[in-house]
Amino acid sequence: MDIAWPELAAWTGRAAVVGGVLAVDAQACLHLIVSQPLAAGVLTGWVCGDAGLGLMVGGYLQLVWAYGASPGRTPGTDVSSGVVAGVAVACAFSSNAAPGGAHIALGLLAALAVGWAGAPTERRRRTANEALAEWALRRLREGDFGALGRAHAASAALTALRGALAAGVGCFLWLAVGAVVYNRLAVMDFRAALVLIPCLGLASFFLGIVRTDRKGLAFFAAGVAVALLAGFRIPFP
Amino acid sequence: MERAKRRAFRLRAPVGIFLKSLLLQCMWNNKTLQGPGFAWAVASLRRRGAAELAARHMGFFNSTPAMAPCLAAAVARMEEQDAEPFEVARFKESAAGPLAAAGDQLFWATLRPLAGLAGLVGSAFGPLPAALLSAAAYNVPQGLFRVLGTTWGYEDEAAGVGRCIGAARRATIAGKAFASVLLGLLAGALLMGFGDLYGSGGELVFLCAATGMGWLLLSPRVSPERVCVALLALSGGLSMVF
Repeated sequence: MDIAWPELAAWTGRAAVVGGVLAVDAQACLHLIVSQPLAAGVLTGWVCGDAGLGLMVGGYLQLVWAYGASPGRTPGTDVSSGVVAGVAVACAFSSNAAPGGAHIALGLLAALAVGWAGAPTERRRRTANEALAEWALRRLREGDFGALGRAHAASAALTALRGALAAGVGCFLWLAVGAVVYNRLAVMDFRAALVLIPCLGLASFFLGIVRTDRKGLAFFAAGVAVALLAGFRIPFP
Repeated sequence: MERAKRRAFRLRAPVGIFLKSLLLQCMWNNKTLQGPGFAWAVASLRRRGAAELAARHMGFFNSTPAMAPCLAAAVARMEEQDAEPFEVARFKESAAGPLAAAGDQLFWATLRPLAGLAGLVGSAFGPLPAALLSAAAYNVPQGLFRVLGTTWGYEDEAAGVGRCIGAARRATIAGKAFASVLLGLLAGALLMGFGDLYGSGGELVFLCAATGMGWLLLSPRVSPERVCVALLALSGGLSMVF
């Protein structure tokens, strides 16, 4: 499947802008949780023109990354950049959507790969923050309190730049990969996986929340009963 | 007039610390962790000696971002009252650990998965409700803890920090219960979804699949990402064969 250069640039640009904003939420300030997969997926999907697809891809990633890294821990996954790149890729190929869900599968693979590849860049950013902190401390000892504010601003800018680069470059590379392989993926059927991934997420959440807590089991059972009695359904793709 | 000026300063104090503490995580680094962010929040209201005060607090500090404003406000208050630096340092070191323990249990282990589950359950109603529910489930408690914690820490110092820790523990119990209910809702919805897809044997397929996934995830070498990639590869590959 061919993607024209202007289109490629547009998708990459969107991913970069959203990736930069969400990286700031994930690592620098506010922590409004919009950088978590589901909310980030909806936001990215809305920017890319398909909030519903963004919700779907973001929802799958929320199930896989149920317990993604906290801001202070050593990052194993760059969740926000991964989600942005994955949703952008899925939206780019959704115009040629195949019945087997190839565009969703490609988006998920892109998200997982960019999330894995983005983690070292986050570690490098933290190393750069060490140098900033040392500079700020030297300036503070000279009596310049404003240096600390300037260091914070520089760090926030660096965070946004890193997030934009990670999401933008990841999106670009996976659009290029997708242009080569999408026609082959389109004949495959990924629906079995797309139906089983929610079971994976459910198990992951269950092990994290309910496993060792008897009261948690009772509340879980109550939730199941309410869902069955009310006929509550979540649509599968 | 004098009392009004003093009250205005005290009202301003928590707001200034609250706002600066929103960037606590900004300069996180491997050596001093949240030290620079904490120093900036604590020294934000000082007009004279702010640089010296901030330099003193640039050392190692780490806590849950939403709980740290409470400690920052308490430390700022102690500094305002000209407490001895070693007393302030000792208080800061002794309070940071329990605050972080309670905060991590609440925000990372309870509220973040709860927000994810709220969004997943809300996806039945569309993208915007899902995103809003997810954001609200995390940000309403976060906002409350940031605002109340800053006030408690500034007004009551050590007792305020203790109050914040107690509130976090109670909120964790309530949050885990609510998360379990949402998880049950999700499980029930998936159970019926499988029934719709596969007919009368669908529920059994779901139970076997969910149990199998849970068993797989018990192994430390197996991560959800690897299982997801394996499922996609198997699904696509087998569809070419059969």
